[in-house]
Amino acid sequence: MYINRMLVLGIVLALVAFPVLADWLTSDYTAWYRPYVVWVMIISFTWWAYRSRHPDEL
Amino acid sequence: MSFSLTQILLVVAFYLTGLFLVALLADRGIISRKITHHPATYVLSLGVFAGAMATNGVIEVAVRYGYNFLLYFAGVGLVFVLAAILLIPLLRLSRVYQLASLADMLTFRFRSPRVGAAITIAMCLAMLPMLALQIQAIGDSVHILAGHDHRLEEANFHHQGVALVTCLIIIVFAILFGTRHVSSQDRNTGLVTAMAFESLVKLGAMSLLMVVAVYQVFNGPADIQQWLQQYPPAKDQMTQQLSIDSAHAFLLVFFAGAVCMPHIFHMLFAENTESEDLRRATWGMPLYLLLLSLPVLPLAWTWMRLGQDFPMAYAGLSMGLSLESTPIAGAAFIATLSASSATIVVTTLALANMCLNHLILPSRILNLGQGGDIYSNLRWLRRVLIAVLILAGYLFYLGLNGRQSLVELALVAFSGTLQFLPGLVATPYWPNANRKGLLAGLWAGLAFWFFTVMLPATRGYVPEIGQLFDSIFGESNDFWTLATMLALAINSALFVVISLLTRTTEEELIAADICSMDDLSRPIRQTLPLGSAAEFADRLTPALGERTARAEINRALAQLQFEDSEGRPYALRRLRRRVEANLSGLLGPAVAHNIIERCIPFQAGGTEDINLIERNLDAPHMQFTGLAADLDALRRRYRETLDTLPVGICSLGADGELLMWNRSMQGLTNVYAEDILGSLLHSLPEPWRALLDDFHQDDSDIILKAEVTTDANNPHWVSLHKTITADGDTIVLVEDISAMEVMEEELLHNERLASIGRLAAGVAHEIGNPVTGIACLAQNLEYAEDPNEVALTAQDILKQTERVTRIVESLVNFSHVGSSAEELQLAPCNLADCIDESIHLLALDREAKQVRFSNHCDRELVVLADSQRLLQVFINLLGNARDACDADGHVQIQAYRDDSRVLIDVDDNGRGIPAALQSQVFEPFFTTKDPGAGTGLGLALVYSIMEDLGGTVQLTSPLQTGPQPGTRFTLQLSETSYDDAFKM
Repeated sequence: MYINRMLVLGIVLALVAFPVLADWLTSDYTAWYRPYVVWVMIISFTWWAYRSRHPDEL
Repeated sequence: MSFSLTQILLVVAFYLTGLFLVALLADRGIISRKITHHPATYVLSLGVFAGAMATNGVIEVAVRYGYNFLLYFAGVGLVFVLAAILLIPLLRLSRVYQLASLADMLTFRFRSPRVGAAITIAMCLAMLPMLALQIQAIGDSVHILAGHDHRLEEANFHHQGVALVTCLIIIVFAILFGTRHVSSQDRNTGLVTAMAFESLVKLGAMSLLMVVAVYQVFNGPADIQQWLQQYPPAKDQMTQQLSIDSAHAFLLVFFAGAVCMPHIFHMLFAENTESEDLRRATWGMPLYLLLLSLPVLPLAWTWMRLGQDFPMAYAGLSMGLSLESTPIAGAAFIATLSASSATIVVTTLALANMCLNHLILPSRILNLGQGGDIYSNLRWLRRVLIAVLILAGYLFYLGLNGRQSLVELALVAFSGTLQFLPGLVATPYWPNANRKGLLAGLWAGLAFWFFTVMLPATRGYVPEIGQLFDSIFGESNDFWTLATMLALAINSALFVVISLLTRTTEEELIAADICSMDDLSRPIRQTLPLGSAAEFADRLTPALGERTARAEINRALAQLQFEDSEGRPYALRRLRRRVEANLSGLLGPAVAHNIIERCIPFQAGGTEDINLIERNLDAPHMQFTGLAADLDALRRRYRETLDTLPVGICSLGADGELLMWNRSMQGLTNVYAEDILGSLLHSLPEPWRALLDDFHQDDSDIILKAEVTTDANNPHWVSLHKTITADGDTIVLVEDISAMEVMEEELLHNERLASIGRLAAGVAHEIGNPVTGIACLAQNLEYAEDPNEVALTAQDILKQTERVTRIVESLVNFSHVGSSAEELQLAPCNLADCIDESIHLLALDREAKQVRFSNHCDRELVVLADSQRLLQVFINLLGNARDACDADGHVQIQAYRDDSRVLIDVDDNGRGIPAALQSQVFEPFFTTKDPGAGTGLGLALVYSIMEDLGGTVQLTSPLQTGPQPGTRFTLQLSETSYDDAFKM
């Protein structure tokens, strides 16, 4: 079975950092688009992580 | 500003007719295939998940909980970001085994129709609030657009009527396009394209609302920023924080919903034909959700700024009405309508399939075997079920009577579908899970959810358990989070504990093996009691009816590109698997499995199908890490070694099925592995069939030399060895010895020439004597005058001449023997004369030991042989016997009849042959003589010639005890007579 190691690392980091991230996203209302920036980064990472994989190897 | 119900109904009819046209054009191929099969179309069709909750409900969440509305999109997006962990394994399973729904998947994994029935009932129950939510969104929108008061609790009859008409139009659409393909494995192009179109419409409508909100309600982003600074309640609301527990619960239920809910499962797996599409969806779907979420905050702020009394979820409509803009209000309504109708269509379609496959068909309400058109019956059943389910959702909506918000209904449905997550995760990751644990956990979790989430939210009933919660966990204002997580905990705990405490059946373990991500499926190579593919249809006729059985077999044969006459066991097993998969798409896995097991059962027993296991291991998706990767690399290396060995290797099952055929075998036979693997031995072309079949049946483990003629001008010689494994498989090694055979003949020829050379001195001496005699006689003749003396001298000269002639003839005979190019000329041959000539030729070698030869053969014995080759046999045997003897040696030849055969013993009183060497003496180049004294080809030549003559040669040693134990070579030949030869 193949699981992208970066993906697993990302999940672990997300779980650990979730409370801090939630605070950071909502504590200061200086940039309303901040969550969307994070989201775009996640999309970019996902595209990068899966870009070279054979469809059957995802 | 308000609209009449007729106007609203016309908009609904117009929009749904447009949708109908899109589906129709896509189905008929009028919309280019490049569009309908483009990955973007598939990704957009997944937007079906974004129902009224995504277009309306999240605005309410945003107003109440600020940024936490993003948890909805994040939970769904995570499923795609983490596709490698859950979606890919499930997609692989669903595609290989044609599993179109969650019930199919879990029935396949837990091997029980009861699991499928339970999942179906539970899913229908959990999805009723979701269907009601969509209908309520339409009903409420109609209510607002019709200009009624702002209170939605007491919805009036008219807008409920519009909601009903909308439901009926959706039923027509769902029936027309949802049931066009009777099998769930065929991609429904019209439906997929229509759903993609709906996703585009709602995204477009929401984006339009966002632009209006930002630039018409506010004066651009800067104005929003300024308003937020000046209006603290808005700022405070946006930074409102959920408790970590609630946030986790939200994330989890939306994550679970995105993979467990029937509509998303259907679009993800049943309508997916290309793995590439899912790869695009891993980032495409989160991107779509991001775009869809962008209008949420501006709409929420708009609702707060305008301060209307309309419910928050309808901020778009409220904005349109405030601005008195028909296009804006229309866009808001279309967004809600497209989101709701898409969710209703696909959800009911998927639920109808589940009900049909797991409730109706297993209960045998429909007798499949009793003729009739099964496909038509199934289609009509599915249509009725779709209508019933949509109407059930409508009745549920009526029963709610507007008491609940869209978010409350969504949370009920999402927390209900969360109960399927443990079973789904266990499918690829926990082989020890069993159906008892699954059902116990599911029913307990669902029961808890029903009493603590469903009833309070839909009927206003707060169970006493709520007070119990408060006493145990302290007073909490987040009863939903507590109830949801407790339901999941009860479900998971029971699932794990009961699975560990109870026995997992063999069938479940096999299915777990197939589903497992870490283990490799180990298919069993079993035998079918069928001779050809044509017999499949007869076997299936009692269960499916003749017409359907024939159609299904023809479909499977066409998919596999097999002929009707196909009879290879491997091919028949593949056909059986294909038919089961096709029937699974048609009737569900439980019914399909039952029919196949009943009609086309395997014979008992069987061994692991190594061939298939290797094929699975070589599949491109198999990537191993760590120790598994090392072991796989080792396996590949050994496989490569076996394949590239310069010796042909084939492996046969006990039933004669060919299990292995390496590259050397392919080169030797011109039969390719992919054409022959899985076939029975008798499928091989001649002459290989006869050769291998005879050898397989034979007790002997070795054939030293066999001639194989595939091309008359280019015969092959092979040697065969075999061994039988503990599993009963036979491994056969086939070595091409043609080159060695040619070389052997060349060496034999050289050996013959060398023998002639060695004989030359003796020949010269032998010829010299009569020539000298002739010379003397000729001198005497010159002076002889008496006619009698002249006559006598002439006779003497003739005798001497005959002697010379005989010597020369013998030498010529010997030098011409043994060329493979010569045809074998079997003819009657006097045995004693042949032996005499051999002895005579040997006697010409003056340098050799002079031993005594005694020919005791009956002068009347005639054998069927080629006299020249038989001469060479005796020269070699007698020569070897002479070499083995001491100076006073004695070689005796005697022959006797045995039925129609003649046995000839060549005995010597030499030093004998040790037992350890006796098995090798007939092998080429084996010799016990001193270096240079022998080539080791003599006895190999004897063996070869005797085989050609249809005879045998055997060795016996010792003949007696003592220093000269002696050796006996026994030849066996067919007896004949000159009369028989004449008759022939």
